Amino acid sequence: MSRTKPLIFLLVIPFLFFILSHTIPLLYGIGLSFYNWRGKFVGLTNYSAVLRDSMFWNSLRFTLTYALIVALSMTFLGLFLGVFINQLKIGQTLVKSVILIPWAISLTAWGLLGQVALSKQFGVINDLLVRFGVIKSGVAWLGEPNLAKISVIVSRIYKDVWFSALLFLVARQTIPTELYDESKVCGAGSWQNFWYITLPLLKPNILFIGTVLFIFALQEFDLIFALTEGGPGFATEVASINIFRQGVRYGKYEYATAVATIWSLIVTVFVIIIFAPLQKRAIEK
Amino acid sequence: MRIPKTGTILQLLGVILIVFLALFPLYWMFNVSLLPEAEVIKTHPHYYPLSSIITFKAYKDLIIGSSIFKFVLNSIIIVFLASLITLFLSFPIAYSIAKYNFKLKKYLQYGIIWLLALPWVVYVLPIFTIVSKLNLLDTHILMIMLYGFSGIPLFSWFILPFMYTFPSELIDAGRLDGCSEWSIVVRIVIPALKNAFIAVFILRFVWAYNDLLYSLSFTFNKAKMIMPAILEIPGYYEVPFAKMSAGGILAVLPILLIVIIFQKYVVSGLTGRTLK
Repeated sequence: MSRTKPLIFLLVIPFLFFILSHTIPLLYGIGLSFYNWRGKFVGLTNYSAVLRDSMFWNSLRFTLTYALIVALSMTFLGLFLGVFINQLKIGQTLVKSVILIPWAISLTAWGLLGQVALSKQFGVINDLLVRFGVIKSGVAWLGEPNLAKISVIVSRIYKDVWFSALLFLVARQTIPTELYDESKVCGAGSWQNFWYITLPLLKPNILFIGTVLFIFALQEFDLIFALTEGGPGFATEVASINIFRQGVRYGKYEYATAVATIWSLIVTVFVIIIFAPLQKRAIEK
Repeated sequence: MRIPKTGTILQLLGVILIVFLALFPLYWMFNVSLLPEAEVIKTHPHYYPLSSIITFKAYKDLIIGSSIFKFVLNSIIIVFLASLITLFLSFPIAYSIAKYNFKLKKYLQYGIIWLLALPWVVYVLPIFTIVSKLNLLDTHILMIMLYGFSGIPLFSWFILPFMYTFPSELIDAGRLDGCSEWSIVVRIVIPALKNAFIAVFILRFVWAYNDLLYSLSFTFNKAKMIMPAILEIPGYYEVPFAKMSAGGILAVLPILLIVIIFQKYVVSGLTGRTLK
């Protein structure tokens, strides 16, 4: 059919640019992971070295914890914020434009700001917490492993919870007002409205936004690199930083590509189990 | 006089809290950037820059002592051209998925979703090995290509909902009028979706400008971009908070301006994907 002919130009050629610039190097990288640095084929040696490396398992564990907490908090805080902003009668326009500001700030600058604000001796966060009596003296937010993990997670949520609120705000506004008028007639309060109308109708959005945030949080690199560079020690090292450190910093290409391959496999499993089924509805319509 | 209801007061408090929380980080970065370094390292930080100590030294040091404007300019040039490429290549992909039927269409979409989920770091090492052999490291052309092509899966996925909502009747009408498939795209689809294009272009611009991984891995000097550049402000022996904040402000300024000016497009671009 003549109508499928344009597809070569519309679809195949544009996509080839991605395949040539990214997918082919990816395959080359996977190939590289079976060799040692002298270029000798070593089979699965790199892989067994990765699997014996406790640093790999630690970064894996922290990546999953990080992604799960970040995605869940951003989704639910964003949902409440979005619903709250939607029912504002005053200042809604102001709020809508203001919440785009944190989204515009790059994660790198956000990380630098975090270093400034979370400093143990001179940081504003410690000063505020001491003034309000939450803590007695300054805490080393970025110097102690568990605190550093909390700092990284909280600052990530703080930056983009607004973005998720905006998504839920717009989603909420697509619910027809008649539904709420009707429930008003039946005497329902605002809490009941939320529980019986808003929440069920937003369920697809919640699932969708939650999984997208989770998938993107698994790729996290920028913020953690700028805020702690994976430290102290390797406490906040996520998979991306682990691969970057092994490959770019230490120059262990073959080892790092083995980690990258394992990590791609894990992500693929996530996509098959959770992301793709959610997209199925959109795809098969 | 009407007495305000408690609900209104709570709403007002909520608005104040949200506005405060959303603006405080930027305010703080600006505040610290205007202080002399010696005034930053105080146990009780200055909550606003007193007029007696306010200084632009941090900015001056950055502008004179480093090529910060060059890095910002590099970023803007690279990202601008790259975003055009991304848009130019992603639009036809989304268009053909939404408006044509072909074999393997379902699998192509699953493939795109899979590509979205793969972390970018898995491409960094092999690309680094390949481009260093091609002598392309630290060049503008490499970065334009990388940021131009890397956005293809994500942005075809972003454009897709705009394409689905585009009325097929218009396309069919064009076909009946004897338009070729090409002139349908050029004369009917592109003009009608102008706003969506602007929205997606801005999103891609912001996204790539703010990215750290590729710019950190592939630019060092000539084509150095702003994000890795500001990361170098804190050194091993000194951590100059005011200078770091000033660098942050200079780095985010272009994007802040874009987001404030094109707010409407940003919102429609971001929300198009989640709602349709």
